[in-house]
Amino acid sequence: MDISLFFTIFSWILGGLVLVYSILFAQKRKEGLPYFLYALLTLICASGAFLADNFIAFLVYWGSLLILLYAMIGLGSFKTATRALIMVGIGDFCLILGVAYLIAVSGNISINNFTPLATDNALNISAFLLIAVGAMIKAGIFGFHGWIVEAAETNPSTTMAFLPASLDKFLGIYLLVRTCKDFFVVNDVLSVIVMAIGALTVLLAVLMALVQHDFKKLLAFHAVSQVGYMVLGIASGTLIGIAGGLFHMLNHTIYKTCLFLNAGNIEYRIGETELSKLGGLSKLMPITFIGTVVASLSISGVPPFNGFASKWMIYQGLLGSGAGWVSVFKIVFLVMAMFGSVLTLASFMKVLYSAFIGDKPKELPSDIKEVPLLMQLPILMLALLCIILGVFANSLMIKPFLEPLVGAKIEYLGSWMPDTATVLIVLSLLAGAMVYSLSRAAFRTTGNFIGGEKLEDSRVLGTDFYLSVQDIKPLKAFYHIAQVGGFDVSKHLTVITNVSSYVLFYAVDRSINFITDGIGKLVFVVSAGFKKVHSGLLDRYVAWLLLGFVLLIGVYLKCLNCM
Amino acid sequence: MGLELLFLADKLSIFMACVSGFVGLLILIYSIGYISQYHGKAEFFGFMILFLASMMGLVFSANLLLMYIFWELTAFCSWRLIGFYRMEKDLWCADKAFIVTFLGASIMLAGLIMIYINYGTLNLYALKGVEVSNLIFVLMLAGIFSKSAQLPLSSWLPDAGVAPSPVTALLHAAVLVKIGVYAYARLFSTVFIVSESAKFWLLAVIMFSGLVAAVSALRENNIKRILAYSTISQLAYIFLGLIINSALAFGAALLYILVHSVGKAGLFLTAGIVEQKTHTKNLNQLGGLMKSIPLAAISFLLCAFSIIGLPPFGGFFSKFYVILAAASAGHTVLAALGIITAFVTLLYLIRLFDGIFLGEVKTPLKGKVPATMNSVVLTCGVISLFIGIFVRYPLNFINSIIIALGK
Repeated sequence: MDISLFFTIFSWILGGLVLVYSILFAQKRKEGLPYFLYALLTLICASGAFLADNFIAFLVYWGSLLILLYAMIGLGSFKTATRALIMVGIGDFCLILGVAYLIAVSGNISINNFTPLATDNALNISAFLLIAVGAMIKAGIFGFHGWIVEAAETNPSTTMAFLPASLDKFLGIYLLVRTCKDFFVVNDVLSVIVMAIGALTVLLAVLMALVQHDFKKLLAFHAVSQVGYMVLGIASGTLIGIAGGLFHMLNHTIYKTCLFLNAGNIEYRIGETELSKLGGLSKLMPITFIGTVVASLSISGVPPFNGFASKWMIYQGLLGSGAGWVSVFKIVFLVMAMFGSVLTLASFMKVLYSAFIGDKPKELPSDIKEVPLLMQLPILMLALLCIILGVFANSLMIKPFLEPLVGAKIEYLGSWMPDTATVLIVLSLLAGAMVYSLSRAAFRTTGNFIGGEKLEDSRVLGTDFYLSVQDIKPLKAFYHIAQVGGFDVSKHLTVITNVSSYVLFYAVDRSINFITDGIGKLVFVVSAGFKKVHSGLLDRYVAWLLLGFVLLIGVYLKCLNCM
Repeated sequence: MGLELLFLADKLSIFMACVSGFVGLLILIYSIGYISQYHGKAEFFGFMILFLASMMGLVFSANLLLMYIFWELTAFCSWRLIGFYRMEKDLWCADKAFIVTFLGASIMLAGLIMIYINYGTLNLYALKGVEVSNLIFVLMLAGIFSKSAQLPLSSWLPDAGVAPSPVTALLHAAVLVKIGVYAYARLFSTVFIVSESAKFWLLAVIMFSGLVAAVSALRENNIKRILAYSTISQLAYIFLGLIINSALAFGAALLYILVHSVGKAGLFLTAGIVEQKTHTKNLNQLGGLMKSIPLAAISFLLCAFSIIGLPPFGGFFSKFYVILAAASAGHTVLAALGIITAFVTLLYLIRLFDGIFLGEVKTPLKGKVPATMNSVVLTCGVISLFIGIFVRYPLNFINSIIIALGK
């Protein structure tokens, strides 16, 4: 299967599910028409970008997506939209320059018939880095993530599920795969640089996610952190890593879309996604609960869900071949990625506890109902996909799609057969249940109590518990920097631009203006002298005339003498 | 003495005449609504028409002296038009513009005299393929730089923003500043041959000028001065294309002339609506006008996207092709500078849009916006978009120009 087609088909499936969900959701928010217009145009332009065989056509579609992103985020807040425009705009401008270099070097504008360039001279290397950075910014790496988090506050869940969760990932990863596989032969140093970006993204973003207490913002940080895995896999340069990166991209769009839609359910029914104000929703909104559990386990990489299947492939890619020093780096990145997975699970435990399992706060009305069927369906389908793609990863995804894409058979180092494993997991769960029911253990439910005394308002906030992470010594500095925006690369770039603009403005522009003004004033000073002569009095003019006449006569006489 | 009434209508001059004539027409339609509340309508329209007429004369001239005459005629018209309101400060700005452009033109006249002395003619047909010395090149460039406002002769352009907005649009965006660009395209891209080393230094100066103007726009708070700086910085791209002078670069520069004329005219005319209806040009005192003039806001955004160079607007194609041509010619650093300038353009135009149209209302709108003004700015915005979507048609015409010029 062609890689362009793969991305096109799956982007329409995912995008379509979100749009089906949005039908009822958008009705309530009364922004239906522009939302659906921008969403469909986004899907069309994204397909154009995937299918384009010409670099310039590709850039046109890709750039149009930036404008649509601006318009779509602008439905929520133009302030966020401006931030998104600047951040993603940096990536787009990098990409445009990179493509210009690429065409200038190769003279080839066909994407599909492109002969990969060696990354052995400065121009090729800068072209690679520019395009890769453009792709990664689109996908949303740490450092250019500010707009995603801000949009989580200002925009509805459907927009989040549509753009940062699914389409932006499709686009960024498509370009990154093309860059690493079809446009360039990536050398070891560049590969390690890109992988380092990926590994740092995994770890830093998940640390940020850990302390979020808003469901949507937490998901936004995970949307950033998961990009790291994809980048890691693709930049590893091994076939299984690239296939794993692609698979993880697809899986991510499935479970992250599912999670955002679940957040959308809560937003739809309660109008609030602040975790500390939620609780006890598992009984009131069972479908939402199930969807969230499945997707949370998927994103954390718990077998046999799909997140595990793809992460496992990425880890395999990292463990694969490589020169001595490269493999050392790869092991470090592997450890970082695994640690990231652990923290992901931790942060989703918080979500499950705070929103669904923990006690219901008093302010929450007790007549909260599950969302309408039309909104449940996409969630159920996505949750089902999480399970199916995990259990039958080999037969449904790797063999028919991923092996043709990378053009080779994918071999694991160890043996992992998800379908067999699932049977074993289910069997052991059943065995556990049997032991439990046979043992007839007695239990009772009770409220929280301290020293035997019951507490009246004893809700334990999951969010507060996780906030204590911020007090750990080395992390304290990290969170402080994050708080003041130290990780926002686009902010630094803007500040640098502003500072240099002061220098250039005063040192060059204003000083030249000063000199020009001086010359202009000089003209007036000189002409003021002549002005005095022109007094408008007839006798003066006659005097000047006579004087001139006398002078002329004098010159004439002198010349006569000379001859 | 070298002066002949010789006119030439080849595809390049027809292209220039069409672009400036069309944008000039749009601006004149807009002026009907704009100028109705001021005195001196006759003077205003008289000079506007004379200005456009001398522009037409200039683009069709095939004699350097004839060209010079029309050149100074446009300077004279712009002098009267910039000082139209006759305030003390306006008059100084008008004088400054006249002095700088006249200074440049006088230096250019010295260049013309040298050409006449060396080659015995000022007829462009006869001069074709002549290699001029660096001195003549620099003398002629003084005129071109002063008219197209490049460093170090650029400082008159932001000051000239005191003029009525249709005048600024005509002068800064569509016509006056394009005279220098056209003169360069006509003289040094098609007639004279100049040494490569001189071109290299020229490129460096031009791109530096573009960057300085772009960052200066970030520092300004007067909306029309921001747009004026933007003009200086955008002209640098046109010069970049013309100086590299490959078929791709030349075509890109011509497309840029079209895109920039329409887009920047739209921006200036929208700024004109804002300025006239709120009586302020200070960005700090503006805000939240999105609700009261949504059409103008949308047109502004469309034109701004085009000027920034985002697809699918016309500005993307012109900017991308110029940068591609620079990279293909081996000027990779200049291409990177071009992208940095484009990023700064994004920053200041979005800052301008946010400042005028978003946030809270600081100065409310007084009076209604006439339909002629609204429809003209909307036309500019829509054309900016359409040039990009139907880029094939302008490119076809530009291709035929390139073929006709034998590049």
